Amino acid sequence: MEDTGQRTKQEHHLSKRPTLSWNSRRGRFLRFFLRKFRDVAATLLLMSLLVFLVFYIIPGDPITMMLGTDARPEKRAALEEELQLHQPPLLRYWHSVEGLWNHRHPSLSLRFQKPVAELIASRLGVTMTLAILAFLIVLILCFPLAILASRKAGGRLDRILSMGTHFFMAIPGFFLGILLILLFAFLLKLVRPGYFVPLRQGFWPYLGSLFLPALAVALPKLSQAVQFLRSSLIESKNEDYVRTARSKGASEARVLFHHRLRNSLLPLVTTLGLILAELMTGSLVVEQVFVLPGIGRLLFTAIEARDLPLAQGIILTIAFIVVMINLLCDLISRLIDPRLDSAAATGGREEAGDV
Amino acid sequence: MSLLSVQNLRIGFAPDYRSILQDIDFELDEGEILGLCGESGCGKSITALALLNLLPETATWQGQITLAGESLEGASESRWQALRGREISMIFQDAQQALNPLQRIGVQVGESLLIHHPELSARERKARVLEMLRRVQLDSAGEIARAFPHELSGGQRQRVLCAMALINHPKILVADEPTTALDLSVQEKLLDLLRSFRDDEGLSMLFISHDIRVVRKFCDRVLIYYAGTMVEEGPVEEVFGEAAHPYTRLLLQAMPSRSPKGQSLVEIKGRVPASAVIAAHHARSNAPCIFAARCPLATEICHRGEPPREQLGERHFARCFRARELSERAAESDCGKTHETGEAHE
Amino acid sequence: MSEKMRHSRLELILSLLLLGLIVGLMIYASAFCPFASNELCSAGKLAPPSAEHPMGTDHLSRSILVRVGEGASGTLLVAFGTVLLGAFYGLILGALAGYFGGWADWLISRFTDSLLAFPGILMSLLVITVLGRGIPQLIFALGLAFTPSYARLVRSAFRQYRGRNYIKRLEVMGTPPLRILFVHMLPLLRSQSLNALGIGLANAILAESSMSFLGFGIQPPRPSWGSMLAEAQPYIFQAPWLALFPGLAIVLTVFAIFLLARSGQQLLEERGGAR
Repeated sequence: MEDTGQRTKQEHHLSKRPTLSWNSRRGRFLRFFLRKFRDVAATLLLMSLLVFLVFYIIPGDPITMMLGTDARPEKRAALEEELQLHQPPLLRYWHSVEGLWNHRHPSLSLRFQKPVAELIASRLGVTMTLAILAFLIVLILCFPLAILASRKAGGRLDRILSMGTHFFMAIPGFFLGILLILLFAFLLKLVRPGYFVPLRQGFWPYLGSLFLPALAVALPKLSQAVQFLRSSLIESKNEDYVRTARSKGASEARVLFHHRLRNSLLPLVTTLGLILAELMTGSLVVEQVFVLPGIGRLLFTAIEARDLPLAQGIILTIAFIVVMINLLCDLISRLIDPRLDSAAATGGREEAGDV
Repeated sequence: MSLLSVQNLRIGFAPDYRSILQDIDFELDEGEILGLCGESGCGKSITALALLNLLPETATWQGQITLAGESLEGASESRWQALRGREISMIFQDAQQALNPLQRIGVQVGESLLIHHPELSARERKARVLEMLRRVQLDSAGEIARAFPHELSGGQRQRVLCAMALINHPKILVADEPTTALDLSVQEKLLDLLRSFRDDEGLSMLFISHDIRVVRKFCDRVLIYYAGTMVEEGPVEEVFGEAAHPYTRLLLQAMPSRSPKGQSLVEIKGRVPASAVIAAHHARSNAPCIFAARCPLATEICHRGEPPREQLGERHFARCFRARELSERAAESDCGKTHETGEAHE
Repeated sequence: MSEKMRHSRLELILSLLLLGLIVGLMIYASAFCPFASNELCSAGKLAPPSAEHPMGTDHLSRSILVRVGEGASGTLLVAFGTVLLGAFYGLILGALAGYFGGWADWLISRFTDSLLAFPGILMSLLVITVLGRGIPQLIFALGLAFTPSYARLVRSAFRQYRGRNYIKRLEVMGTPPLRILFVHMLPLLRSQSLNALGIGLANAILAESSMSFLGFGIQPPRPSWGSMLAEAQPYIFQAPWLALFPGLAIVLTVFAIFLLARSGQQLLEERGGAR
């Protein structure tokens, strides 16, 4: 199993060369970061190209698509100018992306006749708050629930929680939203339906008005997180290092918090990243139920009105945020797991076998 | 009085908890190194785990375990936690798996101190950890303390485990195949290290190994396990010199260095029975010798009833009908191997 | 062990009962029911559940029971199509990436990564915007959205298989790569595929109802659970049953499929272990 020469050499080199110095660690981190950066850049490029292709190349004539077949010629010409259809595709691609942040030649929404970036900025806050609030709910609740369920695998509590999580995973966010409205507004009469407080009327009322929608977005994903964490906590029970910790006289609480939980956290980071991304899109749908002025309603309006620049801008923005979330997760798991530091880690999440 | 005494230990697994290990009796004296030998699947490791009450959730043990005069039968989990790592410690075979991959070595070694001596300041704790790492001959202890397990070699990791187990100066160390995964040269060094703890601090050890050569060199006394029972026990010279149980003899003959040139190694025919078979066997009253099925020297009587526990020397016992006869024969002809081997092939 | 077995069997029976209920409703609605899904009933608008209309009537006085039953067929059609299409694309991409590695792997991984940047139904919304609405477009849109996760699953599995000795031996013997891929490695996926397809199916139902809820999925006059919920929204306080029954249909179907996948896998494992 072990090769003598190699082992002794390794033992040797550890004592001689300062492999553990801060400097070389930083060097490896830099290399990792560059590799990640390359991957993220490639993903962003491909993703934006994909959106561009879908919007401008495949459907044939975008003008007809947007204005219908019976539009007047001068209107067609104006739109053609606006979308710069006479220019080569590569340049058009660049303008369509660059227009999102260029202030002098911004992409304009056809429906609202306003810069796309401005529209998105005015609506993004609500959606992001909703997603982050939902994520906090997931984070706060998933640990105690998973710990409870994993205490006795197959026990009564575990079975009840397992049924519960499977049930909540089966509820689509928008139906859960309707149920919550029915429960809190109709039966308990705790809140007014369609109740939303803008941020300028105070932070806490604003957050409070987003709580129910956040709950509707969060519960199905919370179930997913609980199931994931539960099974990795149960697996960790039989790990050798856990037995070692017990052999030192560590209490169950110490074993759980210092050893099992930390090691289970590692695969959870990737899952939580995916969950955060899905909470974003989940928020888009739930906004519709609670009539919130978020980016989701803007997107559906844009699609409905065939406002291609606006739809493209929104979809690119969300995708950009998702890519950044994934990058953040990779960085976090690298910080938690020292093994990734030295291993020639091949870009990212291997085992994300969720469907 | 002995430091650790185990009487009538039996271990069973879920769902029916029939014993797959039973009739285990032994004592461990202060400063003694007691070997535990047998093929894999004989119950060596679960014996070790039972001594620290670390059996997996699916297993239970019964019997009397007495540590320094304190009976631990039915002791509370918090009592066990106070004992583990302070009075009795353990090191494991696979040091890579036995270390937490996400914690620095210094933290892991210091954890035993933190648990049992919470009064120490962080600085004192660090000083003791470094001292201990040096004591187990890890040079550049500071670097090692800052390293993560995957950055160390197999030998270094095993030393770290030793440091972790011994930092509170326990009375007993249970070592479960600590050298098996190591190269020969590294093995030697680790054994020397363990021996130095015995010589300096009077540490007692239960040393589990399937490698008879290591046990013979390293241990004072030895227990031979077969299929969940003890078949022979005694001082190393007596057990290996005048082996009284056919199983012990076969283990000796299966050892490469002992067979003279030109003579083929003896293979023990068959396999250790599966745990379900062992459990069924143990459940019978007056069960015959469980080794009889594989024993080359078995006679009719071996299949009929429970073999007696024969006393052969002051502390030398064997559980075999023919123990006396065999040990005398072995004593006569040094090890009487040529003769025996012939018989084994019959 | 046997207790765990018993629980799995109980879950299996429960899930089959639920699925049977849904399928029974579907068959009843399409073949035996006295009303058609768009037929206006005499009970009037927003009638509460009664013997004649066990789930009540909607705002156009159509029988909800019939519409729920008929909605099942569209949803199941889209869901099965989605999973088959997604698994097919995913299989091809994942197999190529996992088996060949190197550049192919990097490119395909970037491709699936960029598809994954559009989480959930975002990708499908994009496709529907361009292709327009309709069941074939919906299946294509959702299938594309389901591709990357299947591709990842297959990729990591194939990378594992590739390291196995008998696969290496086949390579040394000069077996063509495509033959190794599809004749020797593909059958190895069987054990994982049941669970992945089951969960995929459940998620496809959820995705389809979201799309229909937003109005980009199955189009009227064909009923669908998602669009029924959207139509029910203005009436939730007057007539909660409008929303409750189609919603329950989604939840129970998805729940039953989750249970089926889980208990089925446990029973298979148990049988495999006993052998």
